[in-house]
Amino acid sequence: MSLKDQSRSPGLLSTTALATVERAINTALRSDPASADRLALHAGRLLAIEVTLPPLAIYALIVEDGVELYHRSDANADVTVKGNPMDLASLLLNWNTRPGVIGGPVDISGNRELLQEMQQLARELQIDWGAILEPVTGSELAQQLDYSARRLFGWARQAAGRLTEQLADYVGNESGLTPGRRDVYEFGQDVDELRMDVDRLDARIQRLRTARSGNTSNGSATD
Amino acid sequence: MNDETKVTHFGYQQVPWQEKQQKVAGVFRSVAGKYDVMNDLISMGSHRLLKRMTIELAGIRPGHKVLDLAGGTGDLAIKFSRLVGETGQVVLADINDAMLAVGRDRLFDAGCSHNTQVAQVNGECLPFEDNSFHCITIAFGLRNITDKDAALRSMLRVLKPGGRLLVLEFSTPVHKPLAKAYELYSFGVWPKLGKLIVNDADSYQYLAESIRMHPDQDTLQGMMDQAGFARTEYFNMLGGIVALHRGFKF
Repeated sequence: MSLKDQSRSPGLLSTTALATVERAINTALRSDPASADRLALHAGRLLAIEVTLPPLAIYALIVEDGVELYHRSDANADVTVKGNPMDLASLLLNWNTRPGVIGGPVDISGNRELLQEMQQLARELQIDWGAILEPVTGSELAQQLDYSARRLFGWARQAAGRLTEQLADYVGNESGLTPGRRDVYEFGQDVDELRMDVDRLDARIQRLRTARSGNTSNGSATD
Repeated sequence: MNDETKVTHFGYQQVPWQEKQQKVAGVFRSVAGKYDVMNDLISMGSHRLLKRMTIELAGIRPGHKVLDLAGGTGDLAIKFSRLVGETGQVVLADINDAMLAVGRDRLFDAGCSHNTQVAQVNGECLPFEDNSFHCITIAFGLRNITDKDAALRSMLRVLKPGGRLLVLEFSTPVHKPLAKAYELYSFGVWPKLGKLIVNDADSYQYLAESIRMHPDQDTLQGMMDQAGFARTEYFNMLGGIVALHRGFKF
């Protein structure tokens, strides 16, 4: 991390948001001891998630009783994933993306096995709503609420999945509103090629300028 | 002027120089058992966020050696212990035995005893070798030290070259309406909460007063410069109610 980055004032709002997410994850882990135990095996490992737009970095340190999230870290991450928010969400939270839906590549560097294990954990995390609610509601009501919550979340997940598929079909294939993955990939390649052409042109201009200024100074010296 | 005739402030009172340490010790012995609960109440939980920001600016890496000075109940030390890993080391230091006892228990309970040490020290004359630590933090502690200049010099001495000091401390609000509201809240509510929770209003009256007597942001930055810290800067938090000062040793 550069010195300039380090000098940025820490934001209270973003810190609050991160603390809230951390608390939510750790609460979920406490209600699923099996997942928490599996995660604890990786205590001390650091995952870096770099969002390209808006530029944002989140570092997740695995600790014995859950995770700690930070916006900055000077430590080397065991695994780094970098991409736009949608692609990262689909990778890390196992959101379904259809082949037709825009989805760019996610850069992964470091320990891929660790990342796969984390994905697996996220997929299998079973939140025990009853355990969370029991201190407030008592055990009987908590069980009922847990049952209802599981049904509700199960239904919501299925509905969201169906909606995503139908929307992807419509947007990608029927309406033609969005380009397909292949088109986006080719467009990205064209942009990269153009960028490299511009860089080469810029280098030539710089070289010509240098040569010209060299000739001018030589000419002046001989005058 | 020698130490016997010198006076300093203890809140709004003027007390002999060598008495302040004992008086501050009395305050913290009185509140140690419920220190974290009281912190949560009077700061409405925000002290946890401020400490997170401090950790993020501390630049801790695995293998680092960190001194958490005036570390009290150890909430920063626990986080540092996890960040420095197996190869690093954290020293939780405080002048107050009662606070340190709470901190030691919390470190133990959090499974951090393998890479942490606990030391009862006076911040004005730290009993560590020169160039020992990559990072020193002092959160809400500098205010209570009698000779702050000596403490800053002592911290500089034990920092490694390239190491950094982070001072998280109450400071001066930058907006007048906020300052007024904060004044009403701290003098009106804190002593009452102190009475209610730890049956000690005086300690929280001292807290409110000591904050007013503490150097403002620019003065503290100047003191750090004077002590020999480089690239000093500060970050206002909660509108300046709290400021995080940072300086490096080069």
